[in-house]
Amino acid sequence: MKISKIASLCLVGSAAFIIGCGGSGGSSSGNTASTSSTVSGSAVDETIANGVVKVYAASLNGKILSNTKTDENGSYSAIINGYTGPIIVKVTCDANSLFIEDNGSKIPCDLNTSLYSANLATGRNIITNVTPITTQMLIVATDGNLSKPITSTTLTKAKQKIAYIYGVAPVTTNPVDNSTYKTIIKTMHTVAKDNNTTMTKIIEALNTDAKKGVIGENNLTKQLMSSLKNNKIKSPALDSNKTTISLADINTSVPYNNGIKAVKSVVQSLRNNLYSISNKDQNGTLDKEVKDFNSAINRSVVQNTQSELYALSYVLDASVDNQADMSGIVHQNGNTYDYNVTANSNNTEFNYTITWNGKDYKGIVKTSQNYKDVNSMSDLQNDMFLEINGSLPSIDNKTIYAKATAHKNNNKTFNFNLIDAKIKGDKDYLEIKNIEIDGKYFTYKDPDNNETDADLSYIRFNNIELNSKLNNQFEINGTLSLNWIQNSSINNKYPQGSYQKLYWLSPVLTCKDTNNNENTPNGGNVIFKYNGINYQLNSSWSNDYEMAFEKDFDNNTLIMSDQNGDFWNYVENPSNYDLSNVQCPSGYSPKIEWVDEDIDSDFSNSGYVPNKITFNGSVKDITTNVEMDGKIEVSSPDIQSVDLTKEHANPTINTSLNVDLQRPNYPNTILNADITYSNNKTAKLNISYNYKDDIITLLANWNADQSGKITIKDLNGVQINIPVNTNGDPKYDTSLIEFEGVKVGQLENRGNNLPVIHYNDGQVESLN
Amino acid sequence: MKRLFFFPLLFFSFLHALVFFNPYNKKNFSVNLNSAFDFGPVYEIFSNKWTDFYNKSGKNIGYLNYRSNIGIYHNNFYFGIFQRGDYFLKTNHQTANFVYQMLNNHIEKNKYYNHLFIYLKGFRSRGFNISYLFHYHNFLGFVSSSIFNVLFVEDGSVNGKGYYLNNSYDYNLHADYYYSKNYLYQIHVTKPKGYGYTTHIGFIYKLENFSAIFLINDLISKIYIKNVPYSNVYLNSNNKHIINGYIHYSPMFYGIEKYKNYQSRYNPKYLLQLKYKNYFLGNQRWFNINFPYMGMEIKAFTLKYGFRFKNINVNFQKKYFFIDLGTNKVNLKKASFLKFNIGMFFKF
Repeated sequence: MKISKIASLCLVGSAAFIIGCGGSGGSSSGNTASTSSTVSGSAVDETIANGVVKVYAASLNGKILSNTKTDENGSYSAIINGYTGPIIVKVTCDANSLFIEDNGSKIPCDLNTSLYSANLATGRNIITNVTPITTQMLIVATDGNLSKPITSTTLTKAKQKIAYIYGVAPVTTNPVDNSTYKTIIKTMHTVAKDNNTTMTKIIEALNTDAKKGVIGENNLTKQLMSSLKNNKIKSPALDSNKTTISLADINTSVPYNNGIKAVKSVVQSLRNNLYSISNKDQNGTLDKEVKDFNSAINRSVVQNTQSELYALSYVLDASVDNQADMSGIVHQNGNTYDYNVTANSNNTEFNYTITWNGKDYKGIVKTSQNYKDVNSMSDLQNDMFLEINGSLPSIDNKTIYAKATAHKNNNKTFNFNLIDAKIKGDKDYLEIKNIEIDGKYFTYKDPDNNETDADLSYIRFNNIELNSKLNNQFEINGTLSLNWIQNSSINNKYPQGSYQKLYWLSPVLTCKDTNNNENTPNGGNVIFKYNGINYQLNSSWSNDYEMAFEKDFDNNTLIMSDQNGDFWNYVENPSNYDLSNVQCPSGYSPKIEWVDEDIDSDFSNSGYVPNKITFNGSVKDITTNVEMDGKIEVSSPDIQSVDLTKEHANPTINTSLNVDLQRPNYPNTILNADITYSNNKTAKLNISYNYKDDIITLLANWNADQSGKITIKDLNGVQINIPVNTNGDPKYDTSLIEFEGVKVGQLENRGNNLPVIHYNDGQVESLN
Repeated sequence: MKRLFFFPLLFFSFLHALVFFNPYNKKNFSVNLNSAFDFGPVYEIFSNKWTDFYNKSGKNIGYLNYRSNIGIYHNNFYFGIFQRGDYFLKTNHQTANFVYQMLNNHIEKNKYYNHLFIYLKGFRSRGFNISYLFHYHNFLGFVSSSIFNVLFVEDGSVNGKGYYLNNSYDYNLHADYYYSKNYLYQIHVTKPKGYGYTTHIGFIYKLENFSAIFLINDLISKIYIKNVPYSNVYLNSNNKHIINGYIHYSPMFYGIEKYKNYQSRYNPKYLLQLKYKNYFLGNQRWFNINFPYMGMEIKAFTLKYGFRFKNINVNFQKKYFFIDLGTNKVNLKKASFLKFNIGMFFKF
């Protein structure tokens, strides 16, 4: 998926969504649909708590789609089912309703209060705030006759006219958080107070003006317009020097300036956030953090611990084997470790010394007396105990402390608990607590000695507590939880257990005469059948095959050297070959020579794979002060059924983030992201984040051919739709940039991957 | 009116760096094409294969003049139709060098280009001309007036700074630009059309061994074009700012792009030439740039030398035909000055 390419644009959209959002022109009567939508918003005159909310279809005489009440913050949320089209929201007060004043005091709500708003119900979430100016908007949309049905066209025009007057998008702008909206309503209250009247009267005056088609004629509305100007409210109407505003003179074919301003704000937020994710900003970008984190893990966990732990493993071997004294020299990765272990009389405490580069590293391993290796059930004992405390041979003075217990429940299952493990170096500190592992053995009959034995079937890590510092840079604190599920394809392929021997075989097709003299085949090939699979052996030396063979678990002897073994017998059996197609020189017959083999083993874990990994906690880069707190979850809904035994297996992977992102010089961002790569090669992205008073949502869908669409929306009515073609470039011609259903600009190409938005008023800005 | 054409050689010898309209050249048909650049070969620049950079300190200019005329003479009048293109480009050495290096992908590292500047103005037009020619004793003159359609316009400037470090450009540019075709960046626009008028005057004084020519093309002119694509944009490679303590990324490209009505004029061209016997000395001037020259006539040939571009011109005139060629390099592909003029006179 060409997400990175679009990341620089990251502003793309969906034609389908545009249709869904109404657009312009035409009447739109209500339709039934099978989906449900949530209509939500705030009712603000004063804040109306416990107000009565009714949602109507297209007209106040129309069907009531939903009834609800506002909460104590004035917010409401109403579910409407099976309807798309214009809706009207009416908020009134009853005896239980209250006005919540700015200072928090509660007064009874004026029972004459009737506030209205309207919007188009076309999506799942329909923001519809209810305020005095949305009430005025509905008057405009219905030409003063509130019982008249509204259409998408009349509504869109009314929205534009109100926005032209007040400078805010009336319906979607949050009247509680948006400073301009708050000032407008506060000014209404001030005018009401100055004139010793009520807000209801102010609203009536506004509505009277709206019916007449001229705003500012009434003494109250005239004062209101003047006060809004004095309070620095900017709008095309207020910026003009006219004392009255004729609604008929407002050109609704041109979006008012605030629509463009709203889009620019969204684009600005994308630019700031995308640059902080991409490597444009060299200081503290997220991709730099990820890169550094990988590097730190590699350095701290992989590179700098392998040799130390390898050396330690010899010490543990001594303890497992209950050897009172053990010493030796180990060569690993170019290092030489000279180790010496001495045990107490009970063989429960082992003092070790590992000499490396002329320096001694000492420690003690304590075990329960019955301590054994956990790899086989026959060795595993009840309630085993192991504790390690000491220093390790390392360049950064590592010490280790670990305490673990193992418990065999019965002959089939066990629990292993790493209670606490601390590894500390000059630059690293890793503490892991409570690694819970549950495992299971399976029982089989050993063909070599005909005895019943058991081997490890699976292990499952469940919960891990992390408290660590990597490379003096990253601090990680939190819990890691894993859910497991058994994948059927792995389990079916290796039904007998978790360890699988893989034999790499090199069969050679040759021709032999009766004296066993060899000759080269003139052509043809051989079909060799094994385990239900046909392998075609060509007349060349390049036949390499991987075949899983489940026997001979206990040794690594070459199976072809066991001339009485099952596999030898199998490959030497002529009935497993079809040699009729091989052309040999006269006097020679086709023959298969098994000349080479190599053995590998896989731990299949009996098909158990994690289907959900959840990290809950924080990761902080102490060098850049970038910190992420929250939850990161990776899950796969279909990993149980996808054939993971095949190369390029492609289960659906969903990654979700719900994090609070703190970066120097950036406002704290609450980031919610959901990314899904499906097994049909499609991908979906859903990101939302807060920006000032707004929440920006970015939705992207990619098809298997890498074409797709990206939609960016905010709470204020901005919608940017950009389809993407198969090479990852935007489809400029069909892109659409809208504000409240009115087109405000077009995405255009300025060459050299420079997509720009060309706004209707001539302004232009690049996305990057 | 034959007396008007007593002095045929006078009327083409002035052809030097720039293309002038002069009805006294008594050609019914003529094609003129002149182009020069201080900073590189004409051929390479126009064919987008600019591989040779010519160093010239300070102000650098380039221009393209072309004009074709078809007309007839009747009594004291000349009636003709024409098509002309007059494009002038002004820049400085560092800008020319920066553009050249950028096009050839070998920008000088860690060098600060503190004054990037390009000014371009030009029009292509097609129209009708009427000229009145007169003479009084040894004094000849003409007054000419043209109306025309404007087919192509370029008028704008780019200013800014640039820096090249670690294989990436760092620049801040501002463009203020009217155009039919945007040469700065890719944009699809509707080509505008306009109209205008212009006037030319010329005076020639002739004695037995001495003559003087003074011409002003486009003395008074006006151009009106509706809905010209206009860009007033900023291009910034480094768009990171701190605003209120927070990192803010302004757009790398922003400004205004719209269609605007446009008025302008042709910048006048001046010519003064003095001739004694077969030798002459002259100067042309356009956009405050002088193009001095000197030359001599040898029978049907005229040889000229231009000082600014160090170019040689050869002109051949035979009865009703003339051809005029000029270059400053033998290898024409490497010449930074090229000129081709041809004209014919028909007797009706």
